[in-house]
Formats: sequence, structure tokens, C-alpha cells
Amino acid sequence: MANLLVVDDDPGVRTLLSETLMRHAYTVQTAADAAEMDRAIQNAAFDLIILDVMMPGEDGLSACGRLARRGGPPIIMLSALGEVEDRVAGLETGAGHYLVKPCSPREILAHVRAALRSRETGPASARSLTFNDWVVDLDTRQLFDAEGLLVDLLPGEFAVLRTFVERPRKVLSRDTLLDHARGPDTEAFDRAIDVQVSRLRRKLRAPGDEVIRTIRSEGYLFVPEVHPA
Amino acid sequence: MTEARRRTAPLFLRIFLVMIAAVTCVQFVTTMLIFLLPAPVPRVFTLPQLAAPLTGKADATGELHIEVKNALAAAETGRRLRFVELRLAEELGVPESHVRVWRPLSYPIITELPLAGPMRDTPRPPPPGGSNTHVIFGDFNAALLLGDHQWRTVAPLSRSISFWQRRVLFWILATILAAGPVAWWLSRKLAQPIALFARAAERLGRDPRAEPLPMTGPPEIIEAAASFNEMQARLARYVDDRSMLMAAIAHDLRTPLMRLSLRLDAMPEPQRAAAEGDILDMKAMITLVIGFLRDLAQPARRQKLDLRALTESVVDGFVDQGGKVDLAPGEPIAIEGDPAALKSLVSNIIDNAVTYGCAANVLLHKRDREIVIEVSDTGPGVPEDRLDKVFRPFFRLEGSRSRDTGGMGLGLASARAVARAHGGDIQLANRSSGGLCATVILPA
Repeated sequence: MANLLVVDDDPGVRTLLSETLMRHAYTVQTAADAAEMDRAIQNAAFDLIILDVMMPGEDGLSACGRLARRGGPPIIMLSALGEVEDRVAGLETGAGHYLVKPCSPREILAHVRAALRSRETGPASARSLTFNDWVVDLDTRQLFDAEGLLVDLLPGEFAVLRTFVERPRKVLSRDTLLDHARGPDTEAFDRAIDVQVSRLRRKLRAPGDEVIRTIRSEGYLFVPEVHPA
Repeated sequence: MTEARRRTAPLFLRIFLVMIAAVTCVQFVTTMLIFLLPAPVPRVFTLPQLAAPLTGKADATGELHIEVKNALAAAETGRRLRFVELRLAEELGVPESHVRVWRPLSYPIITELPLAGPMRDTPRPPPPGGSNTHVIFGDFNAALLLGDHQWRTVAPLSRSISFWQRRVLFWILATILAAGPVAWWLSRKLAQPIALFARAAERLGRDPRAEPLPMTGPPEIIEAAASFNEMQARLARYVDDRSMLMAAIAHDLRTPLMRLSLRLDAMPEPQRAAAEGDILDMKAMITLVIGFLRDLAQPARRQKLDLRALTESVVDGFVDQGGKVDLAPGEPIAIEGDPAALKSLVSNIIDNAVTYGCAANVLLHKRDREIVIEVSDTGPGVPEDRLDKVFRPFFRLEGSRSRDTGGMGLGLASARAVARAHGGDIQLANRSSGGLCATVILPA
């Protein structure tokens, strides 16, 4: 079973979280700060690190950046800072997931599973993709138009777009889209896939078949070529 | 403070020198006028020149107005010049009583000297012809009795603006024309640093982390720029302190909640679900308060974004939760701002419309140099005397503090803070057709 490391300066969170994870059959070690984390990593290999942001000494963001540059295990940030800027900073430094305290144990478990899955499939090679002058930043989950304007996407819309740009020029069935789009990152994703697609078309300013083509009785096809940005 | 200061003359000295230069220029032109232009010469008439037209002969000067009157009113004769009358009578060879010479009453009273000898101040040479060089100048009338109370009068022709007056006028106009560009240039030079200041102050209002003012110009401006930059630094520090405080609140409240949430995992299902709901409520409240504190601070992040896509996201979010929200499609609208703050602004006003006004109609358009977001609802509206109070933090209309209907009373306060931080504002108005309309205006 997977070997996890929980890094948090709060002893309560540290022990309670490791107990919860152990109940779900993960092996868990804990560390109170970045220095302890480094020692633990030297002694054992971990499949996943759950990392707090605000800690005495080196903070979580810096530690995360260090690990990501080294090509370490996937990281889930578990932080008391919940602003969009904090999330973006966390995701940009290399965390695969960013969770804000407090969150339910089930939410944490879902992200743990997803992170371990993505480790098996391997991380996407390009973190930023471009098509028709649009730029999709997969790290920060942001979409920019040709003029560099940030075009806001709801989480569900981004999940659908991500599925499309990672599989361009392939017919994707509604079920495939739903499977990929309904990841643990997506909250309240209860709209039919057709609605997401039509909203995405509107955001991409191509309400017709120009970018996302409807293939009758099969699903959808992402028309433009996608390149690493 | 460390950057090189380009020192120039103090503003005081500049203005002082310009004033002195201007006064000197004016004085110089005036003096030039006096020295270079021929002095104004009063028209001078010799007595023979007057005598000729009075006796019916031709007027040699061509500058006299001749008239025959039936009677001379007493008032018409103004101030009589007795000694000139005497001389003229002698010249004409008539009794003194047949001659009248007077000045109009409007003529300034000057001591009339007896007419004798050539006038010293007259640059014009004494008129030729005749040894008698008695003269008269200025405004006057002379009359000779022809008989039967008939008088023949002569008076100098009046001219509206004499030649020298026109010349002075011309010179004044020429001076203004010549001085105009110089004055314009100088005023601009003086006003430039002040205009720079106004722009910097305006920019500071939008973004306390804007570039500091350049330390150039006259010492007064450098001094003011230094104070201004210091104020800006203090403001930025204040914003930083507030962020620190927010982080502390977030950490100190969210961490125990996290522990509670983890402890709940072992609890039986009905209690766990209820407690989890409470935790979610508290999480939402903390997020609201922190969001409000953040919105009060200046936007930390500025990014070019499409306001229409952002509004569409917010509207779709409400639609997904069953809200009746409607947004007309249109062109993308570019704006520079904090994406999270703007999203909370739009979300707050639509939330109000959906919660209290049943349905929201959202209009988004760009006019001139501003972007307008209008959210109107079909609800009961807000009493006129409370239209401004609803923007106060924690103020709520229905007076209850139930979270089901009222929220925390931070929505509009937060929305206004965001709008103002972006250099705009938000207004509420009751619509004549019923319902409330919130109008957000942001600079484009």
C-alpha cells in the first residue's frame, strides 16, 4: 500500500490526519516542519506528501518548490490560506492539488487517491498548451485568449476543456468526457455534459462547431491542433 | 531616496523670476512706446486760421467744423475764454461782444495761460504766415455774431481714436501676441510637476504598489514627492500588515476546525453529517470575513481579464443552484483587475438580487471609458432612507441574523470596497417599475 508523509506543524492535525489515512490502509509517517520532512525523505521513499503551508522555519511553498524541482513524489497542499492567489501560488510551485482547511476527511481521501493515480499515469509533459492563439495553463487552471485576457472558467468547464486539449482531434463520447471531467477537483459537477460544452463554446467565443464539433450520436471532437506553449 | 536627484531652481525662485521678468517686459514696452513713438501733439490753431472761416472765407486747415446757429444758448457757451475772445476780436476787427470763445464743460479745467509767444512744448513749427503766432489747442468753440442773433461757430473736428492712440493699441496687442507663447510655455513648465503629482495620486488610489514618483524637478516638488513616496510606502506596509492579520485569523480558526473535522470521521453518521454542516458554515463565514478584509485592502493582483466570461461563470453558478439569473450575450469586455475580487463583487450583487429580489437580470456593457454592470431584480426593493445604509458592514435589512436569509451583511460592503479599489463605485436605486437595480461602474 502507498506510503504517505504528512507534514504539519499542528500536532492535532498531524496525528488525526495520519489516523484517518491509516484507517484507510495507507502507511503514514509525520513531520512537524520542513527539516523533519527532509530527514524522513532521506530515510524512506514516499508515494505522496501532504504538506501544510504555514509552518515555522521554511514554509510549505518553498519546500514544495524544492521537492518539485527534484522530481519528488506528488504533493497535496493542505493549507489554512484559501484565497485564489494562495491556490495559484501552491499549484504553480508544483503541488498537484491544493486543499483549504477545514475540509472533510473524505475530500482528502479523494485527492489522495487521485494524486496516486496521476503518479501511475505520469504527469502531463507540457503544463501549458496552446490552440488557435488560446493558452491553457494546466497548473493554475487558467485560460487566456489571444490578447492575453484571462477568461474565467468554472471548474467543470475547465475539466472538460482539459480533457479536450489533452486529447485533441479524437472523438470523445459523453461518458469519456464525464469520467475525466468529474475528477476530485470538480465540486458540484452535476450539469449534463452538453451544457458544459455549450458554455465552453461560448467562453471560447465559438458558439458553433468551429472549435468543438458535435459528432452525431457519438460525442464531441476538439478541432484545433494543440501545441505545448 | 537613493536615486539621483536632478536639482533645478526652486519653484519659488522660478515664479519670482518669471514675475520680475514679466513686469520688466511690460515696463520696457511702455518705455519704448514713450521714447520711440512721436509724442501725441494737440491740434494747434492760430488765431488767423480761426478768423478765416468765421468771416466766411475758406478753412485753410481742413480740420474745423463750421456751422451757422440762430442763437447761442447760455449753457452752450461753457467756460468762456475771455482773453482769447479779446485777441480774436482784435484779429477780426469787431467789438469784443461779437465774439465768443469757450471750452466745453467736459474739457478738463486747466489753467489757461494768456496766449503769448510760440508754445515751448509744441514740436510742430509755428504755423507759417503772419507774424501773429497766437495759438489755441484742445477742444474749443469759437463764434462770431453775424447779426440778427445769428452766430457762425467753428470747432475742431472730433476724431474717435486719434492716430497715436491707435498706435499704442497696436503695440499692446503686438506685445500680447509676442508674449503669449512664452507665457504658455512657462506656465506649462511650472504646472508640469503638479500635474505629474495629480496623476501619481490618482494611480496610488488604484494601486498602492505603483511605481514611486521620480525625484526630479524643483526642490519643493522633490520634497513633496519624497513625502508622497513615503506615504505610499506606509500604505503598502499597512496593506501588508492587514494581510498578515488575515493569515493569522485564517490559521488560528481554520486549524482547529480542521482537527474537529478529522475527529468527526469516527462519529456515528447522523451527528457527523450535522457537525460537518456546522463546520462548513463556519468555514463559509471565515471565508466571507477574510474575503471582506481582502476586498477592503487594495487589490493585490492586477491582471487583464474578460469581465464577460467572469460574469458568465458567476451567472452559470447561480443558474446551476436553481437561481433565476439572466445575462444577455455580447462582446468580450477587457478590464484590468483582481480576478478573485471582481468575481466576489459580481457574485455578491447577483446573490442579493436572487435572495431578496427573486430573479436577477444582468446587463454588461461598455460606454465611453467605463464599464457598467447592471443587476436588476423584481423584489420589493429597499426603503429610500436605507439605500446607503445597506452598504455598511454587518448591516442587514430584516434585522434577523439568520444565515438562511440574511448572510452576514457583508456582501454589499464588500462589493463597494472592490468597486472602489478598482477606481469605480456601486449605486443602488429602486426602479420605477418595481424592484432594485444595482449599478456598478468601473473604469475601462
